[in-house]
Amino acid sequence: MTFRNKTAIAGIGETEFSKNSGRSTLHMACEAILAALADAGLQPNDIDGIIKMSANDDIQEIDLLRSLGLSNLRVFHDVPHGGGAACGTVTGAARAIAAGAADVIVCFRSLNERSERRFGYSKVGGGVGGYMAYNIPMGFVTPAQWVAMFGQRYLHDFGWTTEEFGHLAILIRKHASTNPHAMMYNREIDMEDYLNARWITEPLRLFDCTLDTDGACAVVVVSAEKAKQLKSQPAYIAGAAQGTGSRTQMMTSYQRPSISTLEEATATANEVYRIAELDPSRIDQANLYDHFTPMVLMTLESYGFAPRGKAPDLVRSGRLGLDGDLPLNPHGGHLGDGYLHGFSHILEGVRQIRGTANNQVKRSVKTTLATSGTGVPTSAIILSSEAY
Amino acid sequence: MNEGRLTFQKCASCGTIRYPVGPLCPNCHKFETEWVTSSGRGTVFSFTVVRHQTHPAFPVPYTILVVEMDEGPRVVARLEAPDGTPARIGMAVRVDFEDAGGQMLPVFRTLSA
Repeated sequence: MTFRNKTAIAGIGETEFSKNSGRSTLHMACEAILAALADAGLQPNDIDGIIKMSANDDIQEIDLLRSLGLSNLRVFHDVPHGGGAACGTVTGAARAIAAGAADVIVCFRSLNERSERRFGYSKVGGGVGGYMAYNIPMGFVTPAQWVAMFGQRYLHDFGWTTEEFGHLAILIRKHASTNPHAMMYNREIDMEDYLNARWITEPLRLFDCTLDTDGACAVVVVSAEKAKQLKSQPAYIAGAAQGTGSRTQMMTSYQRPSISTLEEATATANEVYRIAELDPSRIDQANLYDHFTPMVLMTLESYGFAPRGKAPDLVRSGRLGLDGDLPLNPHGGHLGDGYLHGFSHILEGVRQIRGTANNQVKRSVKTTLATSGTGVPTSAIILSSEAY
Repeated sequence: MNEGRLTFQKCASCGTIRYPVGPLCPNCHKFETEWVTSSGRGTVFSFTVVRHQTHPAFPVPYTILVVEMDEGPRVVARLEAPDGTPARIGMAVRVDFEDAGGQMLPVFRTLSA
């Protein structure tokens, strides 16, 4: 027995994505949460659970409770490991509701990543502890640098060039270019733009990297029965899972046998498909965590859409376009819409199921996959239009 | 490191070398630990050439290596190649130490350097 289709996302909400929100992360979180509640036809007092991402988060749950006037929470926890946590919050909500521990759980992410704390910049000083003491003093300080090691090894192990990263960046930016919500709306790039852009940290160029973003996203999770009574079309949670790999460090798990594959993503894929009782061929549309292009190639392989080392062939095939049979990140993902640490991918899945996305894909969408951060313990969900 | 030696923890029970440091052996779960000195030799497992500067302490460009040491652990440090030898996967290197303001830090040099 699993919790397959026992719960649903009943409401979604988000702010605009920008370089300078002009308001606090707490302010934006409350905006997104109120929008998600309104979408579901619920009130703040209906909330009896909050599950949030913990890493790099400056919102204290206690401040959120006071701000929204909540006094009756029954379930509250943080999910660790940065962007790997996004679908993990929804997974936790689905498990808690299926277990009867709460009725209405809100999950959210709110960031002033561009205007306040830029994760792409190094914060050196004050001392570092643990295994990061092996990295930071060497000038090995940013996520892009840590991911570059994975990307370099992927190119080496399978004989590709950086143009394959480029094809992926161009595809996702193309999707963003027709989404008015996206930070990169109307800003398509081609291979010349890609190759001429400056190096960030070889083999990664500018357009291989995500966008520091201000914004917030929220979802409301309820039981499948309750979702049917609410205002908006439910997106049933068919599968939800978390997973880990061997010899784990945050984005620097170089001690494991191979770094041209993502152990955590493979483990999470197996588990989310097991719970949903689906295989990759049944996924109609995918929203994959795209902070850096090499990791998306490896994610496509971990989730069974391409054999190991062959994801570039899939990217070039045209199947991942808006009119393809596996449209990828129609909203423009983290490379073009904005970097909400996996959360915007969850919202896009709900919109594609409902048929309300700015870039609604051509094929009918009954099932959609969202994945969370890579290079860290991670998570994924499969949403379904029907509670099969 | 301040003695100019690269050392690794080794389980006194099953002999597994562990890196980074930890309180017990993840293989046999015994806490008894020895320290072994690395030969200092290894080969490049992966690398990046940093071109975008993010902190005044680290002017670009510089090359960071992940080196698989002969003992097994993969160690992160800069490539110091005054002759401009570019990094490549599989390249043999040896560890050396440089004074970074009172703290010795490991660097890698090509074998010819």
